[in-house]
Amino acid sequence: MRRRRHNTQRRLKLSEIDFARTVKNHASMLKYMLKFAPAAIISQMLFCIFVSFADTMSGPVTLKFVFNGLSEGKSFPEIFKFIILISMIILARHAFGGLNEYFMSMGRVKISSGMRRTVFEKAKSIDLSCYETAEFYNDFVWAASQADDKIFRVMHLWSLLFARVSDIVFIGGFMLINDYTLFAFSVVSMIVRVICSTKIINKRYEMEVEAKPVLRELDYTTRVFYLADYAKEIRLSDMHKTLFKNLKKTMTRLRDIYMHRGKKIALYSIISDCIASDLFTAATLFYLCMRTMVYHTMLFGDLSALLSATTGFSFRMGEFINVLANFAQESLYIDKFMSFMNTESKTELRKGRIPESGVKEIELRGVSFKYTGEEHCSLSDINIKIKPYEKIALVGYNGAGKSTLAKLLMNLYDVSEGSILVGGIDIREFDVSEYRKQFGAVFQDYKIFAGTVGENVMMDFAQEKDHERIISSLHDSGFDKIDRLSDGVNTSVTREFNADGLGLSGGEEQKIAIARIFCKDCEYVILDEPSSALDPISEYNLNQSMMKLSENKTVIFISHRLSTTCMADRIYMLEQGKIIEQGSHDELMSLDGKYAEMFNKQAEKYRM
Amino acid sequence: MADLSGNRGISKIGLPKKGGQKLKIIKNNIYILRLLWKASPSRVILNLSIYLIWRMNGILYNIFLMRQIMKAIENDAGMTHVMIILGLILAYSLTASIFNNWFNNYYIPRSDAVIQEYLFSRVYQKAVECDLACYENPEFYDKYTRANSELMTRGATVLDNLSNMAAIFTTMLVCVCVILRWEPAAVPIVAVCAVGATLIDKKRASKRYDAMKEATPYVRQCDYVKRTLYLADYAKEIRLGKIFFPLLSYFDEAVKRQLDINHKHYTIVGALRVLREVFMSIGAYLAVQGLIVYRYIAFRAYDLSDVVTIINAAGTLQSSIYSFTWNLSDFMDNGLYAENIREFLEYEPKIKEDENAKPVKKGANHITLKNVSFRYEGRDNDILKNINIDIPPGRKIAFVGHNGAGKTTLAKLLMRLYDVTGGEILLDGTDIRDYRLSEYRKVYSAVFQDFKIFASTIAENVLLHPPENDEDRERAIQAVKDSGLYSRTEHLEKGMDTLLTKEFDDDGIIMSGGEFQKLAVARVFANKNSSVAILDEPSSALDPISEYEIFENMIDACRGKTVIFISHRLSSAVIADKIYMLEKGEIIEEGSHRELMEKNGKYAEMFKMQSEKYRRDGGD
Repeated sequence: MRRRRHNTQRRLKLSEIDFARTVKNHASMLKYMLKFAPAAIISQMLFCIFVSFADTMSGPVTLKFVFNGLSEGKSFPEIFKFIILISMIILARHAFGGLNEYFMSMGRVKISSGMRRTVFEKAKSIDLSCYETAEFYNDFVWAASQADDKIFRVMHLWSLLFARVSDIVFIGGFMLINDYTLFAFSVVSMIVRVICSTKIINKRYEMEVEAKPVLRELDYTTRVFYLADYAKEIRLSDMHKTLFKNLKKTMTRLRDIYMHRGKKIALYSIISDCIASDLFTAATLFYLCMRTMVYHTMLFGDLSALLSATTGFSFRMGEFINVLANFAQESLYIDKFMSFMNTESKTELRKGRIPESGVKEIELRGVSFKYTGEEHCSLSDINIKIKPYEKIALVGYNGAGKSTLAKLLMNLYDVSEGSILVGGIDIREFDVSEYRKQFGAVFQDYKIFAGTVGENVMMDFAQEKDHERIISSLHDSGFDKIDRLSDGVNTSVTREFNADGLGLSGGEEQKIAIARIFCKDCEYVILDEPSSALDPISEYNLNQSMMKLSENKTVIFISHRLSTTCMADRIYMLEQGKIIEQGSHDELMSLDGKYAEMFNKQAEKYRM
Repeated sequence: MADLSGNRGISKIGLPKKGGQKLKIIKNNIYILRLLWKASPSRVILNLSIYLIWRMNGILYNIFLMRQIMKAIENDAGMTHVMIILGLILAYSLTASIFNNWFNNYYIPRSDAVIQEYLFSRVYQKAVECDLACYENPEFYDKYTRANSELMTRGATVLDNLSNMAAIFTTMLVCVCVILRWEPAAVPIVAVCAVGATLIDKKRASKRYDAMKEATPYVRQCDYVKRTLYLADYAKEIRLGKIFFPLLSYFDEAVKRQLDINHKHYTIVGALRVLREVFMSIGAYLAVQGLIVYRYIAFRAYDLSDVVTIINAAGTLQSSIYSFTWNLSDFMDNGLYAENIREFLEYEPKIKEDENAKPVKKGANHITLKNVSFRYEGRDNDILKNINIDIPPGRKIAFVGHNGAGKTTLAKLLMRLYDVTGGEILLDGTDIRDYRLSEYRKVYSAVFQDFKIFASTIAENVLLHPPENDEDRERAIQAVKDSGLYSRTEHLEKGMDTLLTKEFDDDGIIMSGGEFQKLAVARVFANKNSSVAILDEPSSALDPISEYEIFENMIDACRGKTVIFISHRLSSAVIADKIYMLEKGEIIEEGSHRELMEKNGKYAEMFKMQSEKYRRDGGD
């Protein structure tokens, strides 16, 4: 069973950071961004640099020039010219901002759709067996589905990196030019900040580790209350009282954790701020006042500018370490995304022989299959021979392996052992997409896609020349409504793409799904409980027409309703992945084994 | 640096267009503030003061201290006086730092948990009370899910936003006073520019909003394709056909549309930003600085220390205006988002608990439906019409019919999950709307078609409350035996206390769909207080043998109770005392199996068709 974890990512401890990997991961994400929207990314990064430059100019540089100028008695035009220059820089900064906003509005769409497209292509070519492994799905498919959002987080980090590095260069440069001593001062304050930040990051990590299971409980309670699925049960029982009690307990635990862990974090941030910010600023001021007032080696403008530069510099350096920590943090996510992108597929991309047309004999020789990561085989030692045009039924309890067997036949998975031969040739020698063209299938959980009726029947683009075939398949499956639709085959189904799209009832959807087999010029038909959602009369009608239309095809159907299966030429009864009985209905009834037992129990009520 | 993301200040969900909506936004913010006040008054006060203290710190250093230093230099007064002031300010800022960090790292997380608990309880209490019909109304449900997902953060965001605005506003006031004291002419210049910039900002925001609104359908389309192409549910079909390509072409088309829309609007948004800055950089910056410098140099209108003070105050004012605009757009967002929470909490359910209503008689109950009809809200026709049913205590009743005939709706009406829209349902002769709701619903126990398993122990899942004594435990075990699940549970290490699902514990167990269904059926068997059991397709995921066993056991386990079951498999209807066949919301046939077969109507036709295959073997 698949369970979507709300947060598979954990916070990183500083000591765990793998620098080389972090750099590599982020570089590959940057490459994606540059591929999809080069203009936007370059604009964004240049903008970050320019902002930092403009802020230095309109901050410390202006303070120094204007106040010094006034103290020294510079003339008005001299100072005014400078102010004009600065106001032009500020204007340019925002003009650049406006331009960047335009580039980014386009870039965002391009990057997000580019990432999605990349993932679509990859998702399509990943083996279904991987896709159905809970672990793979929870981790990697989840990661991939986040890629279109996460890439902006990565982009934000790159922007911050560019901004902070530029700050350090510009403001740091200003300080180096004006006063070495203060630069050294700032470095000391920076070291205090870094030490405290490191401690804080690690403490936060510990706090999150401790809080995580509690948050998971909270997440669950939240879901139960807001999913419509649970609403009926909650109204009819006292379950909500239990849930409220749990909620209270959860919140109390969460509070205790935060209180307990928060103490240390608060302490370190107090130390960091008091020393690296308050005392540092006061010390800087003391030093600057000494130089201005006592030694007279400096003017007020210098004092004012250097104070602003020093506090700014130390603050930015403190931020810098956080940016780096976040880089390492996001790298964990990128790891997962990359694993998804680097998944190798064995089945999906296979090229090979093109199968000859015509219905052939299918043979399963000693077939076994085990899902990745499972201990037991879902199917073991299956031997079946299906002659052309035979109608075969696979019966058995839930979980006996019927659907898995059907998927193996369509080569949605590769067998783990043994082989499947079609017309005497191992199916693994065929080109996988050509091979699958020979199969038409209706699954228990068939899906209707947003698109036109025609596309849903063709499962491809529906071209003009295909229309006639599509309509006749729809008639065969009993979807007569098609004649009454003004747009016919081109009518949109569902409202996803078209507000006037056709809403379909469950039964109608199923008819469209069934029309797919009639439309597909296939040799083999697989029906995996296609009638489960139908009432008895519709089920009966469907079975009749299915049999009539599939005379020149091999049909394999799966059901646990035995009334459906007894019309088959041969019946295979599966239990725990093995074939336990086989033969025609009459043979199996006279065998008086498990099949007969199941059939009789089911039939008993009708015999009254 | 806040505009680095290039996205700051966009009203994320929309912009108020009319005056009425502006008022609503203010009201919604106040509503959230009041909720927070109820949850934790101390948090509200502390939050407000922390922002104020923080902003004042900046004013003390930038405006006040700088003035004192300049004065000392001007008068060549030496350092003593400045150092005393510096010492005082340092003491203030150290205290502020301690307070601030204690607040952010120790107080807030704890206080957040308190507030969340309060908000969660309020919202979920409401969720339990609100009509089931609400869940089926997509608009309402959408509101609820959004309110719910907002809960974790919105409260704190609103509070921070309001505190910040108050603090910025105070800062702006201080700056304005300082400027007015020495250079009153600068204030109107800044004011005009600020108003101009704000007007342009409004225009920009509405352009952004237009872009977002126009793009919404295409964003939704892209999301749909994403859902389809990632989710495992669709994976099989995508691999068997070529539907991938039409979907991709829809996707590309939707992306192209979004780009066109953004191109159209964002060229204007970008240009407006430049225009806005003409006001700010040329008007507010160049004009004010020029004016002050000119007046000082040309007229010596004030001392140099005054110049420093005014220029610093003007700078602080200018950056405050920026922050204020950002906060204003957050304020709008918060107001719009909070609408969901507010509407949800203020919703008055139609079917509600009334303390003074009649109590329900204990023991066997008699149910009567008189001319009942029902129509879902917003639909054109009745889903049930003119239903008359009489169910004396202890009867076994079956509702049969095709999909969509109204069977499940009828069951929901009985449990008062909806109220009838015509006619009445009587319990022991009294209209069910006259009973106390919570008591009335206790009359029933039910298995739904789409039953749910809770992440708790097997016993709790069967009893739907924690087992309180041995009697409870016994009852749960018996119910599990009756539903045919005991063979699965008896070997579990923790038996009935085994945790189900992996929500809380990776060792929790997941059962198959059929096993979970048996568990859901056990709930009905274990419910000793109810006098009516409703089973809505209780065996759809079961194989024939389990289905058979469950029906056999049901007769025993529900002895003395009224049982109503719904099925489209007629084999299970045979054991009923009375069968009601529904078609298009009406009862078309009623009677025992034998009577209906003799009548040779629709029921008989359906039964024969379904049993044809089984009959071939001629068991009778």
